[in-house]
Amino acid sequence: MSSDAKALFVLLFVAFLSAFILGIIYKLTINKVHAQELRQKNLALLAVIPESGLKLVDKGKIVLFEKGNKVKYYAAIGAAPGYNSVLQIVVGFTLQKKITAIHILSELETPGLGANSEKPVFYNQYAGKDPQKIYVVKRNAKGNEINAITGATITSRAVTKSVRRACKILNKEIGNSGEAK
Amino acid sequence: MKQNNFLKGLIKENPIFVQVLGLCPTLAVTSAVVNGITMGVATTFVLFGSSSLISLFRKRIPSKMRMPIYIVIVATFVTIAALFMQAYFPPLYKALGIFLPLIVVNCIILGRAETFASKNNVSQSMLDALGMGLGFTGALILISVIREIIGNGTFFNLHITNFKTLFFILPPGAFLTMAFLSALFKYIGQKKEKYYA
Repeated sequence: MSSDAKALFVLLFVAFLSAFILGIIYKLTINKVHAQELRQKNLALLAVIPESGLKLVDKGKIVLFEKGNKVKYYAAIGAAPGYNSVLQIVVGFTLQKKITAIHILSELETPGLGANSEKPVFYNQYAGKDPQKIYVVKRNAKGNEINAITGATITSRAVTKSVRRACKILNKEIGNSGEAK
Repeated sequence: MKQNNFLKGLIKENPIFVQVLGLCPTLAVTSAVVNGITMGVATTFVLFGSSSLISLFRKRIPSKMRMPIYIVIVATFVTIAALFMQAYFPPLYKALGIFLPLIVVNCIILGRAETFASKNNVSQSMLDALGMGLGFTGALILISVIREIIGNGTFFNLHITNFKTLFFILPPGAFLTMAFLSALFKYIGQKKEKYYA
């Protein structure tokens, strides 16, 4: 066997060994990772609703917030590809399907640019707006417009898209009458 | 000789201030002390693991294939660190963000592998890796202490003073802090040489 072929086999062996070890480590840690993600999701759900002490009912694609037996708020998670990563946003809705607040569940955008989407001065813009009419402008946003982050238009649009998708998911689950299936 | 291989990484051949390696993560994560320490520890872990393995198998790794093999080894250790951090330290994992996977291309790691671990025995390579890792972490701590206290008025996220200059948290402040510390290092180094000469 030529030395080149031998070298290739060594690389192959190292790659297989690496994959094997990583598979084991992944199996060992995945449960904890999922538990953490669940915790983050629950914290986010509580963060987007203005009232506390409501009962959370998980309906799979959406979450209902009930007081007594009446639904007072909804929440859904929307996702859209950003600049570097897929963004996941938790959106809270009133019964009239207006946004209560949003919370960014996960993003890995550029630090100092797209990552600034996690700053309240950006994400607080969404509160109170109509999720089906929001769109991104460069500055001086009025009404349902959103001021983009300077130098991070793609991330800003991705957040907006995720919020719109969350609204679409909500509409699909409860239809226009407002009752959960 | 043995002592030198560990100690040299701390000051005389400090990866950041003397060798000028791994500057990108340095500038990026030193805006807060806790981020600097986390990056330092994670990099030291990867450096130690990679150097040990590469040194252990240095006679069996074909020279023409060494770069891809080194990178697979380094990437494996970084992934182990990332999975571990994601499971047990999620806020730190989030704080490092994209710079955790970027440890793979941190020049310090590949640099030590190529310069030292591929040519020396395992115990010496381990000492070299630990020294470099500690030197890197120490430098990160030094820079981030300055940047966080002056730039944000906090230390480890604890409020210390109301005086804050945002400039130091931003990239220009990172460059400036690093530049002054590098100059200081050089100055002290020269003074010591004069003293011993």
